[in-house]
Amino acid sequence: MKKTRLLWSYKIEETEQWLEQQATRGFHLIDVNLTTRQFIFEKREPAVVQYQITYKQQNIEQLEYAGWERRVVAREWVFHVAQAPSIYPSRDGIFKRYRFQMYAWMTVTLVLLPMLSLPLSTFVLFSTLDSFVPFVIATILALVIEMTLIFSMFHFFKKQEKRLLGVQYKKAKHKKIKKLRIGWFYEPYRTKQWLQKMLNEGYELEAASNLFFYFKERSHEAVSYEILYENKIDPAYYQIHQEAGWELLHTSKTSILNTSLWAMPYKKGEEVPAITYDIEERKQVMKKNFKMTTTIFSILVLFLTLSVGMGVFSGEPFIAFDFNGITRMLNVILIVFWLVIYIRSVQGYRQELREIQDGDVSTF
Amino acid sequence: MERILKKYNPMTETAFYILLSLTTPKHGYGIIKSIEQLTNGRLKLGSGTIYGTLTKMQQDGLIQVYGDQDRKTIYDVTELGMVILQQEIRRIKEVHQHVLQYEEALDEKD
Repeated sequence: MKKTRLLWSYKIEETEQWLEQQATRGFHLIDVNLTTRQFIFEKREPAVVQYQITYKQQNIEQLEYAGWERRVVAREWVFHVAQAPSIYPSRDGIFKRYRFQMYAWMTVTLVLLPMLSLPLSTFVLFSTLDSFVPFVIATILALVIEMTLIFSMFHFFKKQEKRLLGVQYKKAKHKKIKKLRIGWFYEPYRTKQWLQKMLNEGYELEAASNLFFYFKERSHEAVSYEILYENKIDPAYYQIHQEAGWELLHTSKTSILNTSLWAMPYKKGEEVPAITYDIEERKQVMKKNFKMTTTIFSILVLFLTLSVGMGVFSGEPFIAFDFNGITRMLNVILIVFWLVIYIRSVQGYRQELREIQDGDVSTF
Repeated sequence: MERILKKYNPMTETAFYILLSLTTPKHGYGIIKSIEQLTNGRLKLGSGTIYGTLTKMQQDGLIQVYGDQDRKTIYDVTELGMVILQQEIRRIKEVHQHVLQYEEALDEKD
């Protein structure tokens, strides 16, 4: 029996379950044609089995010992079958495949979007009045279709990524107070100190978003907070920290440019829990965060300055109460705001480095 | 292979203990616990240290991963990992031998 299953590689878990259902009806997978998306089955005795699909995954002997049979190998894909396995193949390959496709898709759309809309928009500008209306409609329609496609694809990948990363995220339940803190991530030292101050005042952080901090009444003697930045993470990242006793209070849930905020309660007199006890590694953690802050700061300030500069050079008065004038003022405010955050970030970075050098890591 | 052998000669103490503990497969946290026990609490590793080292070792092919019943990642040493572990053990044995030699000499001086 042959069955076609389009887009199966975007529904790995569903496809595995589907193959398992086929097996209970006596249809056992014997081959897969990747080009035609056809699954080829053979009729035998019905059986309860488990299927696992892997992609670009190194062959591991342990899987064979655990009863996994490499039933079908098609290019980089392997379809594993087992009856009662004690271990499972890693999903790392599938995760990397999704991640690659997601960021490839983002790059392509960033280039394609202006390219697709530009010809249509210029057409609208140069068309005569009677042909104007249909073109406006066509442009809008094309844009709507593009945007829907882009966002639905992005949403899909994001969902897959989040699921494979296994983020267990806590929502604030008993929030006592809520505090706004813009750009907290860019000044980790100050933020951590502020969190300790709040703790001393009887408020323990329960969860955080990009802008807000939610505090509950303090329930632990002491809490250690860590603010982390990673260029790239894999599914083991959250797992290892959580197993070690860290509680996830905020994360960007992305596998690249990942940000996170962690907490671990401890008793006074005990060693302060830390993400690393190695001084060199501690410096690395800080450097990573500081580099990211510097990059974002440079890009933002460059763009803001350019947009303010362009207006000034075009001979407009600096202060004006039209659209351009107000945008310019807002941009200037934003530049000042970012400068303040960045200066505080540099100060915090140097202060923390000094403290580490003096061996005074215990303040966290 | 040559490059990897060189890269891990010598190993850092952290990397050595992580690889040593993985001669029986473990979760990330299992590694932290077993090293703490083995060294009587002298070597306490943070989860960031473990994550960083494991990622590098996985890239270099020293360890491999699979999931347990709950799909939690288990780490296991590979054949290449064993070769590197043995290389390091030989090195430490040599160092140990030298320590003993010089200890005797130092004792005689006293």
